[in-house]
Amino acid sequence: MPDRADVLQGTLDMLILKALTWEPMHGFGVSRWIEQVTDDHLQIEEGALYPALHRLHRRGLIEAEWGVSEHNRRAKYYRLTKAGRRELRERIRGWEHASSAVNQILQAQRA
Amino acid sequence: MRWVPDLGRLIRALVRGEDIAGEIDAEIQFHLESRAAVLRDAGMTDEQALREARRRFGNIDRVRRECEAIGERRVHERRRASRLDGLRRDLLLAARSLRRNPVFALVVVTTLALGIGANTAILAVVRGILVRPLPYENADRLAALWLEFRPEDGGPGREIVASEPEYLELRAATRTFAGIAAYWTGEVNVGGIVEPLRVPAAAVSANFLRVLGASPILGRDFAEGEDRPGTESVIILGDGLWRRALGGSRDAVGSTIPVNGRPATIIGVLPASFVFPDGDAEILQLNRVDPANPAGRSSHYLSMLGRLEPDATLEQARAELATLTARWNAEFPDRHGPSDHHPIVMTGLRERIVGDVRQQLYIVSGAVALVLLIACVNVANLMLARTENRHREIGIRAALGAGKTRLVAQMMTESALVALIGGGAGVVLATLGVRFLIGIGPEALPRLEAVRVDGVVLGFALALSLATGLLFGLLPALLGARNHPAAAVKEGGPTGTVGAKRMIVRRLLVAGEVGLAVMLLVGAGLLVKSFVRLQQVDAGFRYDGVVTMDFSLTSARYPTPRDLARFHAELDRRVRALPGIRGAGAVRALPLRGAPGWETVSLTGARTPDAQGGGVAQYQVVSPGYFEALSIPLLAGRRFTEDDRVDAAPVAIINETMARLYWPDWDPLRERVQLGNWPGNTNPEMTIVGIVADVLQTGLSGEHIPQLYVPRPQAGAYYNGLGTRFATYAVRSDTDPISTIRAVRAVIRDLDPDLPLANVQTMERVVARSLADTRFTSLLMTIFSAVALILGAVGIYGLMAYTVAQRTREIGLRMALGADRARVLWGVVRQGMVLTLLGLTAGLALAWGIGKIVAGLVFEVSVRDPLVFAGAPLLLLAVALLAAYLPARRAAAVDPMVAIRAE
Repeated sequence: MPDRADVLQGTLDMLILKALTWEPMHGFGVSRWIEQVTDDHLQIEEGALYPALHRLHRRGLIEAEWGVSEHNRRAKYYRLTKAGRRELRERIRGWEHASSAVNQILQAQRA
Repeated sequence: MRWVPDLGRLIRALVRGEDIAGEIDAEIQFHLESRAAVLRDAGMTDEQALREARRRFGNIDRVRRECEAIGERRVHERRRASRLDGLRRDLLLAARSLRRNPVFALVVVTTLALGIGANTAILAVVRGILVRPLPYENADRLAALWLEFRPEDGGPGREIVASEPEYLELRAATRTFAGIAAYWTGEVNVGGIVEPLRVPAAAVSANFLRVLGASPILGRDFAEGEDRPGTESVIILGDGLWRRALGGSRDAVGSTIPVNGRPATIIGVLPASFVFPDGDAEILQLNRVDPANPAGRSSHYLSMLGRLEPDATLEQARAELATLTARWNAEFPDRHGPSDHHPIVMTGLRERIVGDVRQQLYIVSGAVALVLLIACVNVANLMLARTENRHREIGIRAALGAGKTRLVAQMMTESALVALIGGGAGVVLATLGVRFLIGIGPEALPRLEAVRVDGVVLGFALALSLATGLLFGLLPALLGARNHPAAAVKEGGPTGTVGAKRMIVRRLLVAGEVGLAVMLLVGAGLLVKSFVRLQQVDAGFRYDGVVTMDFSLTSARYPTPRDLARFHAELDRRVRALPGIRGAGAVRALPLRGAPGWETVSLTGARTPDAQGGGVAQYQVVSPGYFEALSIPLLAGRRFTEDDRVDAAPVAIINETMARLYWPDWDPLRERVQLGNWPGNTNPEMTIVGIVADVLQTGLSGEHIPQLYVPRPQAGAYYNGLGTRFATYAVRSDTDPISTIRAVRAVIRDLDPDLPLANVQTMERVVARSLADTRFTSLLMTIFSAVALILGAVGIYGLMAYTVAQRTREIGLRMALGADRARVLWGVVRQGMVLTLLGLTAGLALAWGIGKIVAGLVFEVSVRDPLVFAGAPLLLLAVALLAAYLPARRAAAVDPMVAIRAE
């Protein structure tokens, strides 16, 4: 079980954007989704999510709307915008590019 | 968890319309509760769950603060974006609206371009002449100094320049001036190039450039002491002459060129930005003064320039000058008469150069501002009219939710757009206008080289455009915007209460612009009348058919007075032999071109009230044919003849003013005068043989001055031939000027091929140049009032046409019920006339009250001249009548049936 990892800001953005790919979610929902998908391996300080969400909102990558949750409570739902989808695509590409490069280094044999 | 809302947040929320902090609190709260719920499902108690949820969350306060900051920034950015968006939308709307009404747009833009352009051009002129500092280092430390001559009989004081001893004494004694330089200006012949040139020149003291705060860009300045007699002849060239005569070659420094026939070494070249402070000298020579042996006290020829010590003020300098004068008067009490210590007077250099035109420029600025005001009134009127036509559009927009502020903002954007376009066109006009003003201004205005359209002027044009946009846009916007849709549609029309209010405003505006226009017309009328009066002044001579030219005979080629006399005698003989010549002669200073060379005279044997027997007169050296050439009448005695030769008895002719001044009750003929008025004077005594009529020497608006004429051959004996080398040759002929000039040139070239001629022109041109000042101002005022007249007419026409269009139905009805055409016509015209009369009365009253402003500019015309005060309103009435008549005629031509059915 990996230790509680420090997650880089950019990566957090990417995770949030990915979380919102399918349907709008509130902040807690995003937190739960990340838990479930990574099988609780990735534990983020939950509070850190919110500044990230607000920053993405400010940049226009996600939009926000107050709605009603599944338990009939008022919650702020976030949704990906077109710009957000584009951003996510680019980030994924960048991440894959970076990680493949790191992989190559790690697998390099003594020349 | 309860969140106690704090007051600050509430207020912020109210103001912003969004409660950022509240929302964040709610969001965090939701998260914590949700997490707690999950934990409770997993088996924890309420308390445990909440605590764990908090723990997992982290630092709640920090998160809250961060999110608040981000949220505020977001809201701020969104707001700004929406404002810009709104502006862009308004601009697009405005542009589209203008495109749909091209005639309206064209008229408005043209009107504004005229107003803004004229004002920008005048500002460029005022800035260049009055505001820009002189192009010298620390130019505000410079002062011009001269002397004041007060006649013994207590008459008005006169400005004169200094003599060598006075200059040297002042220079030595002053403590407040760091340096005083002296100079005099004239023209020289420059040779050694393709063809000889005659250029304006200045003879200066060695410290001149240093005092002024300028230095050569090539070579060196004059050295201290280089202006003593016996040193080599050196000169400094101006940039223009250097390029023209020497092709801008760097080898020029150190080379020698002949100046007035004598070789002079070029030691330096001045930069292109250098401007001589008094005239346009292109070459600087040294004025040789021997401090041990200066020239006489009564020979006044040096203009003086001083630079204040760094810590001295103008006031201190003035005080020192007064002290020095008093001290000298006390030290030398035996010196009497006009050649003792004259009070030295001074003023800042820039003031000296531009002081005369200051008032003129202020008046012109005021007038052009009025033109802009009239233009704004016209545009405001047009916009008000347009608002009426758009009341439906505005109503729809209001119905769609636009608040009053929005509507006003949108209309103001339109005004601003129109104003900026007009301003842009105005700047183009201004550039042309500045060029035009520089073109007609050269003799009238000093410092024209400093006039140009620069950043400040453009900034002013921009500010003016926006200000005018605000001015003419506010009124229609406020009167046009209404946010209740029904009211807009109903009251926006001409029959509603707002419509009626608008109508009154429009009428008042038109009356107002008529008032302004008549003020400009009165101003222009006064100046034009001045100009005409000035032209009618009898200058004392006849200038039709006279051509003039200047030349100077160098001492290199004509060393002795006899040589000079021989040249002039031969010149006169040959020129008089040409066909059609009625008279020819040379003079030292042509009338209307100034009065150089005032000399003191001693009136030996005179029976004057002045016991000292001395006086002053302007000293003229003439050839025998001069008086004939200019048809100056002889009042008594005889003119000079060929017999008044070098070796004959010395004679002189005086003018009427001199006779009246010094021999008021006696006949001056056969009395004797002597140049110079000090003991040991060796100038020969002359006998007065004739009295001629006065001529205006200083200008058409100047006074008559005492003048003493001496025959050219004899003048060589006085003051070492002062005034005998330079001459203006005047020739009167029956043939046309061009052939006369050509013929005389040929004669001169024959006598001396290397002699350059300058200022070859007809006497009429000389007269015209002396009128340049007044012509400039009156021309500008005439242009402004013409523009004002046109704009006023357009304004009246517009209003009348609009009224007619609005009342087509009513007019048609009237005519169907039997009213005759003339009645209808008269009805409309009368309305227009009432407005015009209202405006005229107000404008005339104002002009009557503030007329004193132009008092300094008018010549022999009262500022309440009845002809002008009657003529201006009559002209305006006539134009207004026409402007009102045209739409009235259209009204009367309306077919009643069509009219009644019309909307």
